[in-house]
Amino acid sequence: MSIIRTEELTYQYKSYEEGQEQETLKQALQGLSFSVEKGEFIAILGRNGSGKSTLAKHLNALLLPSEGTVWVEEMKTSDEARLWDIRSTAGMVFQNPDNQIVATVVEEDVGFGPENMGVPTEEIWERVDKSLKAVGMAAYAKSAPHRLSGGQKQRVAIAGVMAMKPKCIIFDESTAMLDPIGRREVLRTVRELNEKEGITVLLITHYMEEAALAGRIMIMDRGRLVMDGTPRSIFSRRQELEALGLQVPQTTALADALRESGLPLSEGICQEEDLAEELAALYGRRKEAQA
Amino acid sequence: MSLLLQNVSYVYEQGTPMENTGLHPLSLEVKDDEVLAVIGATGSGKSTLIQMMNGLNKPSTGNIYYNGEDIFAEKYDRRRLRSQVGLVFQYPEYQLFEETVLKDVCFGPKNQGLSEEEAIGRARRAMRRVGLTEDYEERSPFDLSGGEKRRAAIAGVLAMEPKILILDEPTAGLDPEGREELLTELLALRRERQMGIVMVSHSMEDVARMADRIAVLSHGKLLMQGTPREIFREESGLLEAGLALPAACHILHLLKEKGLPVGTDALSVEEAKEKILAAFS
Ligand SMILES: Nc1ncnc2c1ncn2[C@@H]1O[C@H](COP(=O)(O)OP(=O)(O)OP(=O)(O)O)[C@@H](O)[C@H]1O
Ligand SMILES: [Mg+2]
Repeated sequence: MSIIRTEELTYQYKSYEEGQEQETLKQALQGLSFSVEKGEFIAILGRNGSGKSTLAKHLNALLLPSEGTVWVEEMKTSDEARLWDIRSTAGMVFQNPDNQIVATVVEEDVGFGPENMGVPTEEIWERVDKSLKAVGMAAYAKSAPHRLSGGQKQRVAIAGVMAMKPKCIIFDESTAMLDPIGRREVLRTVRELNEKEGITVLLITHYMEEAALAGRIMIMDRGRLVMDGTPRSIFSRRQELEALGLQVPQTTALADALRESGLPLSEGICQEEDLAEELAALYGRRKEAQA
Repeated sequence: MSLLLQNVSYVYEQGTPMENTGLHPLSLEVKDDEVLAVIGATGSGKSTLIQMMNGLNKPSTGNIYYNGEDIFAEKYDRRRLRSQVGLVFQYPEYQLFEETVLKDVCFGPKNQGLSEEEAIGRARRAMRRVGLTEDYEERSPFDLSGGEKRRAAIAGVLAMEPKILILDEPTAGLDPEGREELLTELLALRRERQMGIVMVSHSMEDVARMADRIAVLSHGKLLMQGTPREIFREESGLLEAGLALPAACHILHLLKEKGLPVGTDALSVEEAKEKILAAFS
């Protein structure tokens, strides 16, 4: 069963400017239809302003479609009576953690969501512990969030969403401000949530290396969905990607360059480990042939 | 002509029970015409450091000299300093406040005393440099997407035509094309205006490509300083500091672990390719 489904989703931002009679409309999404199956790990890519965040906000009813429909587990997001169910099913983590942190102590911040959901106290603490450990912030449980660095705050915000045990989490560039190790930790956490707990993940990112970890990549351009496929199939279409303002990961660029120089590597390699393995195997065969 | 930090340290909430050392004493120079990258884990003191560079944070000890003058001397004009040492914040939201993007980008140059017309000219040029076309001029900066906001914030500082440009995570949130264009523009600006650039970044790829010199911060200390080649040779030091190798370099390390006779000293895809081909030949 699909956990998220959209049909002809269209959205215009309306803004009213002083002195202007009419509102100005900004078309942000244009007839999007797609579905996400339970347990998928999807990366969403697209140039700045292509509509990724606007789409994300539709998936937990922060925005409602101008036209078309969004379902989260068969609940229409326009169904106001189900708002709380929708938001606890599809959690969201943003880029700037400052706007997401509400409490003055880290552990209280993480416990805020489950508390609001009426989770028993005992279990709240369990969830808080587990979530903070998962993001590598357990040592800061008693700290004041405002004293943490941007990246540390972000990990707290992610823990806060995780503590609500949503079925689906949408990460809107949540790793953009993290250092390499922090990013790796968060991505590992994201993958574990997906693989071990079956949480559906939608990861919006500008890092092609992160997208390579997903099972499926969706690419947006000018409010439309323009490509949809596995990382390998997507990253073997380099020219199309570049026309969309995107790139292949460095690993793929290196593999392509080596292939052009005559090494028979497969197309669309996008993970460092995979490239290293193919190269090592190739090297081994050449050595044997020479011996 | 340069910015010189001499034995500067920074203590947060000094004199209170919450006192916390943000930066241990360190010395650093930013030369004109040079790209200095500051890297370090989150919380290592990067933002504290760069906010001292334009006089926003007053060091707890030590001195900062811009073109030989102590910027915390009593009569020093720090407002003027801020237009010569321009700072783009980590979160662009904190930098945007006018009704329209054009007004926002004009704010700096107007403050410098330029006429409306000159300010608009500068603003437009700066906007083009970061890929904001004319149709963004009349939009509200608050209604922009994340990457568009970052572009606007960078344009606002560029429009002041600073002598030294400090950027905190300039490419975070930019799409790959925008990132590429921005980095290229920054290098061009450095050439045209002999502008010094200080760049805080978590992207080892960007740093490898851009920096003449890298300063590595770890827990508020200056752990090491050197050229990209020198720094990315220190894998264990980097990992200790919560950092990583650029992707191209990392793959070479993986290959070496698997027993291939490859050198690991590569900063770009092109260099990594050469090393691998050499092993195969
Ligand atoms: N509040 C708003 N009012 C009016 N227009 C908006 C608003 N927010 C976004 N837009 C516009 O809608 C379009 C889509 O924006 P969105 O934030 O969804 O892009 P995005 O793909 O997330 O971009 P980025 O990669 O920069 O984060 C853009 O053209 C943007 O300028
Ligand atoms: Mg966005």
